[in-house]
Amino acid sequence: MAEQMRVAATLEVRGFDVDVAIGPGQRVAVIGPNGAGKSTLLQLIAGSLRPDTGTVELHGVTVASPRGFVPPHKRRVAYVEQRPLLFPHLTVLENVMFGPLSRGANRSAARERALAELELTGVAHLADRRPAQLSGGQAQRASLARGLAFDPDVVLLDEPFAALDATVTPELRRMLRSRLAGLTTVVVTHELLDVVTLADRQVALEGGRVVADGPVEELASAPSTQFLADFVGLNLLGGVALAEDRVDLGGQNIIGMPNGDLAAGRHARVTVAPDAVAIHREMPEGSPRNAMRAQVMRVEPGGAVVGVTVDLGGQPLRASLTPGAVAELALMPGDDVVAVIKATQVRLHPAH
Amino acid sequence: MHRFPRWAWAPFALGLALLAVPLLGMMARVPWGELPALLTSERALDALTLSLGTCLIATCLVLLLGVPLALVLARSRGWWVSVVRTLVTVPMVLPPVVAGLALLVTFGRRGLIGASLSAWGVEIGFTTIAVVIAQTFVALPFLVTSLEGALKSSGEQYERVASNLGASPSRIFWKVTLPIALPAIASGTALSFARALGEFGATLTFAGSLQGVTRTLPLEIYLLRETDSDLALALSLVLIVVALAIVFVSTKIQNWRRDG
Repeated sequence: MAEQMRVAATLEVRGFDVDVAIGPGQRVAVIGPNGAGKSTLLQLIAGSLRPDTGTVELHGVTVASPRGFVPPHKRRVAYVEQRPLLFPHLTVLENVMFGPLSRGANRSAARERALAELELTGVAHLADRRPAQLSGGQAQRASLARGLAFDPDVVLLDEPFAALDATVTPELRRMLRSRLAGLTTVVVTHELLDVVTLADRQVALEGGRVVADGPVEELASAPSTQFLADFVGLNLLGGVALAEDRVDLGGQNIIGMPNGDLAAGRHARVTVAPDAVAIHREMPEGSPRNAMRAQVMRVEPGGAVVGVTVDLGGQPLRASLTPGAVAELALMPGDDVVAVIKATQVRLHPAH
Repeated sequence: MHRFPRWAWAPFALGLALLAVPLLGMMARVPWGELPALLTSERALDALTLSLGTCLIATCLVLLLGVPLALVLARSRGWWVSVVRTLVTVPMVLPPVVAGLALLVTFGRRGLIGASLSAWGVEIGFTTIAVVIAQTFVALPFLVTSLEGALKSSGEQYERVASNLGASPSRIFWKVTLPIALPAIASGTALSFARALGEFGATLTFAGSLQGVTRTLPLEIYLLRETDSDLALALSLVLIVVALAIVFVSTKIQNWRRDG
């Protein structure tokens, strides 16, 4: 574990108190609502912030503690932000050469390294352009090349695609995925797709604390907080376990597939995908499926699907319906309806 | 169609006339035919070379002191920053004669610092050095205030990026901060040069008016205005041309900054 990276630090003004260890070559996605401390975590690693208490370790070396502080330029951390922030007075090539030159490479070595990196990020043909002459996607590619050209120990990405046109992000994401293979990476994102393509571990922050930490698949299938559920597009309901496949949601029971040992009388969480929820006007007859009474809260048209949110014993439950189905049911807020869900589409998780 | 009331044209015309008519009137009185002879006379050449020399030195001093001063102000936080900023701004609004007096009681023969310098055999008051100090004193704030604003509005994010890329603070200063602030430095320098060239009150109070030693262009123009008004007008023309050139250059720089 000598080469691991670890942030075990607090920052009082931001209410930040986190202990995360990241192994070499691990790719971590950091998610959470605004103000959760995601950027603070990156800034602590990069060295633009100093912790109040605790330590930051990079490559097994303590770079920040109450006793000492290694400034950013003496760490090997690439920090690519939402905006490319290319130096406006330098060409693309000179921008990418900046890192190697600053770290002692001679001009020809830096030039060679920069050209190779621009080749990998797909903008070598723009090497002589000024940043002002680039599109957003091209500038972000150049910015990534600049960050990677000095062979960093850790790559930090702060919402790298957030400021870009949606049409250019898929290709950029693919490029980044192959380029970052084997590099220790921490990516802050609001996009599930970034998490799935760029990370194998997911850390969720809320209010400056780690609220979930684990393999991406695990968190995506069993989100433990409302934010995570929204993030992966699932409904999250809370209730009390009645049996190992049955949960009481405040008067109405739901049957589902257990994910872990549910003990009767203990709190349990229920996750359901919105497209697994059907809405009926009347209670269907003789069906083994879950059928629960609810009231319509909102109807939000969204193109091919209409999002209908119903109140299920005080908890919101989203359903994705076709516009045709919504028109046929003539749903209005306040209407009494029945939410129907197949038991095989419901996951039950023990809450700790 | 109109974005302002029609009556605004009246003060507009009056204000414009106030600014332009005196300059045009001067042009009418300038003895154009004798201009070469007037400008190559001994008094004219003395004043011209003295002004040019002292202003260039003062402008260099302004750059050497002003750029780091603006940088520290722009990048620091704390109660003392606003105190320093006020101190830097005061000379801009201070009557120059007061500035001259302040310099005299500090660097003059019996002054706070001047007395000890005098004991070492160094005299500042009423020398060319005094001219340069007076010009630097009044010109420095022009560079600092304009540059500080520019450094604050851009810069810091690029400096953070450069730091993460591995550049030391000094390298960041030379390779990132200075080049990005270059247009602001250039226009601030032009303004400072113009202010130094026009310096009158502080120079007269602190440095006196000795031909070839401390009598700069503005002082010479003031002395000549009644005895030899032709020469005074000829020298004034030189200052007007320089002023026009400086305004032209700094507007060009600002436009280039906006476009680039």
